[in-house]
Amino acid sequence: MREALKAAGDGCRTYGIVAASSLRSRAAYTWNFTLSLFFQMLMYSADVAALLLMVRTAGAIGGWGTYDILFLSGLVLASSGVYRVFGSELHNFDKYLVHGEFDGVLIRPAHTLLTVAARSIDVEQGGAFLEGVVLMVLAWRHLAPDLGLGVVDALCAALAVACGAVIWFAVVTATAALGFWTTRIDDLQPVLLYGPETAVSYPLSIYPKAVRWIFQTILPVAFGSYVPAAAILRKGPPLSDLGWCAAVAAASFVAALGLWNLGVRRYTSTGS
Amino acid sequence: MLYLALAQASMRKNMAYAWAHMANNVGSALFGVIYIMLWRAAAHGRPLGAFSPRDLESYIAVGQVVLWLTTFLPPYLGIDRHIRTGQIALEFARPVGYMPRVLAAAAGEVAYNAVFRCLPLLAMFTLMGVFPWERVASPGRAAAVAAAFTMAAAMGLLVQYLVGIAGFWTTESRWARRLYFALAMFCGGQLFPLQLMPAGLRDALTWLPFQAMISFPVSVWLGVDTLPAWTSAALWALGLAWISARLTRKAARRLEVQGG
Amino acid sequence: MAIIEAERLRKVFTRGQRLFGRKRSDAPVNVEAVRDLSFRIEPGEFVGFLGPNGAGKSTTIKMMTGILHPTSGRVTVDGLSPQADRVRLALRIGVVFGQRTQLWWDLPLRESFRILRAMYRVPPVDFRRRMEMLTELLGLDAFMDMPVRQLSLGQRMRGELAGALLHGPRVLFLDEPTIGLDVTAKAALRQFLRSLNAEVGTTVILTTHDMTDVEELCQRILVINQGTQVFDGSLAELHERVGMPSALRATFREPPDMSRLSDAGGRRSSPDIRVTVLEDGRTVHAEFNRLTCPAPQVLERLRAAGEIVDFSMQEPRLETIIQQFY
Repeated sequence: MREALKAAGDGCRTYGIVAASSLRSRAAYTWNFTLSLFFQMLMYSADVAALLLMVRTAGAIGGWGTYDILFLSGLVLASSGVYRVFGSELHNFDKYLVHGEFDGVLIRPAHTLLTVAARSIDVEQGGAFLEGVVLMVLAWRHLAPDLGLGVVDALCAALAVACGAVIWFAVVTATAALGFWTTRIDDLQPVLLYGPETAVSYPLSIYPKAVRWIFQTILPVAFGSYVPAAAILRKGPPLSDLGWCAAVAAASFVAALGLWNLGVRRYTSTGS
Repeated sequence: MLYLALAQASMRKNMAYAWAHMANNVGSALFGVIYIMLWRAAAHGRPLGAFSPRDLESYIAVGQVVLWLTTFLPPYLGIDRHIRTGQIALEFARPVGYMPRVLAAAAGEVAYNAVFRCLPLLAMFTLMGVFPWERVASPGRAAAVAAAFTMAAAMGLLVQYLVGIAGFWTTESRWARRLYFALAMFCGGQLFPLQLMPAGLRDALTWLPFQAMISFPVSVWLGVDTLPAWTSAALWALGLAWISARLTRKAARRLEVQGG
Repeated sequence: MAIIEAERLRKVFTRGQRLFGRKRSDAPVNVEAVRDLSFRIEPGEFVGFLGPNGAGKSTTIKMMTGILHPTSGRVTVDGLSPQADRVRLALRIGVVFGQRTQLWWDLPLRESFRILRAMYRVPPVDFRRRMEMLTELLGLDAFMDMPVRQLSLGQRMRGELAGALLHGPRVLFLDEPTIGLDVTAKAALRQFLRSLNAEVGTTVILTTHDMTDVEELCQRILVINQGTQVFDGSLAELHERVGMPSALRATFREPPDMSRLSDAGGRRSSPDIRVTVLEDGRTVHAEFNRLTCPAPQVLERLRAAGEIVDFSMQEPRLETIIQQFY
């Protein structure tokens, strides 16, 4: 047990160095880096603009007003933005299986998931996270006085982003793990990742029961989006529901890790 | 017919991936359903502007189908690859014009999409009861829809061609294509119809090329099309064709002078 | 005590069995990539694993490094099982794949080493000492601050080697390290590997298709074919067994008169020289065994067929040697 903890600690340290190096080497091209972040934010803003026009015209969607939805969309964008930066290798896991690069992962003295994640960190994809935070702050400034949101709520919002980040990371990991069986994952991602990402950017209450059930059980992405947002924005559920969100986030990561380990075992026995 | 053969060839090439594409279609359908649910909740049984609640759902359904004919096309029609590898010099040297050949091959891709992307989506939306078949009841409407869809598809091809051939003078940025999609979706009214936008924004977007690829064909299907939309689409189609042809000639001259 | 021990190693792959099977008609086929392979390698040995593509040498290396788990049999490296103790073993071995990079593509080479240092928990003193030595021996200074993607293949391979040795592994596995390198780069690499083996005492396991690698580096050669070991011994013993297949090419002024080839009384090929005339009619390809018939003697005999204007020795091809075992 101590051995495992120590290994995990070393792995995280390695990961930190990779992150710092990536940031340093990208920051050397300041102009390119800034421009790329600006483009991304413009891109996400175009999506948000359409949504805002829609809420403005309709008045509210499923009982959620303009700023409620802005907050929810921001939360999803910020939390899923984390995997785009830190899980970019898992997100593009195809190449490891198609070109046999996974062999190089197995010779490293760390857990395979950490080794893969530490292969590269895509700081340039930080635009989604930034945009998400900006949207959340904008919504907050408008909602805080009316709802009486305070420091505790702000901390809860940060916790919500963290829960969301962990859950999205779990989904990305699980999707990559499926690749050990299917070899290609780029056809799975629209259904398992991009679709749900878009879906939970809007209030969950607008979907049929079956869809809501899926997002709260087998693909528990609601616990990183709708559930915490509803609690923070006083839509009924108590703030203590965030405890559930944290528990679900932890559980989904453990489950994804299990699937991943199973996949690695398959790889080491079949080599394909 | 050379052009027909080219179109057939690129359609056949895609057939090999039909099953992978089917998996991808599920994703595409998912997005359609999400947006339909969103409008259903937003409209809440009331009409918004000129649209009835059912119109809004239909708008999304037709739009999802149209996207596969006008927007989700092979990036730059492969022209960027021709330029990068230097193959372009060879392509220009052929006896038949480059532009019509590339466009014919791309038309094959559109035909493939029509069969393997649009038909499954059509079937699903019809089963959901959100596809407005009743709106094209008369032969006149059908003719208008056919004309609008053809124009929209042509616009889609021409835009990709133009950006592709501009590769002679520009360098590809990692974000260009994704940014193009985001702008095309918003300015084309994919989620939020132009008709419902504030007047100033609506008028501005009507005269941009993006509306011709989403908003215009969908509106024609629903019968809420306007004269400015037709005019703008026609002018842009002609304009883009003219610019593309000119740029192609310029590129050919540049190749002769610099030898690639 | 042996540093690597393999006992009745066996690996069976099942092909054609997929979750979403593409060819449903094909029943799964069992392919025995490695069967009943046993060997012992002592510390400090420099061993070449040879064999044609698909012979099972890569599979064997993968089982020794923990990438693949054997179907049956047992392997230990430095006393550890690569399967049960993958992470612990990884700290004691170094692995280089000739065709893939294990460095960080977008980062400067120097950063790759910093990352590896953290990953392998290398103490600062050791790191500095080894880095100095490797930088000097491999001449890394010139490109230390360049991103890996900008390095030439030769530079990158030097970087890969340094990366695999930073943590002072007891065993170094090299899978076709010289593939694609030019002659000078190959020579430099061999020089480095020789001194690593001789001075530091690192055990080296090498697979290659380059006969010169084998001749200059390997004290011991293991030939694997169809998953089993067909030869185990020194280079001299290998030559004793299969001779020293060599070849040369000679160009004649006029199309040569093959009937005048001496010695064998007009026969086109004598027992120890096999001659074929190439398409142009004037060039002759001669294969012979250097042990029984040295090159000058071959030329002398060819001269009987006409005036030779040019000739060149052909690289001895490993495949030719390996083929003798089939």
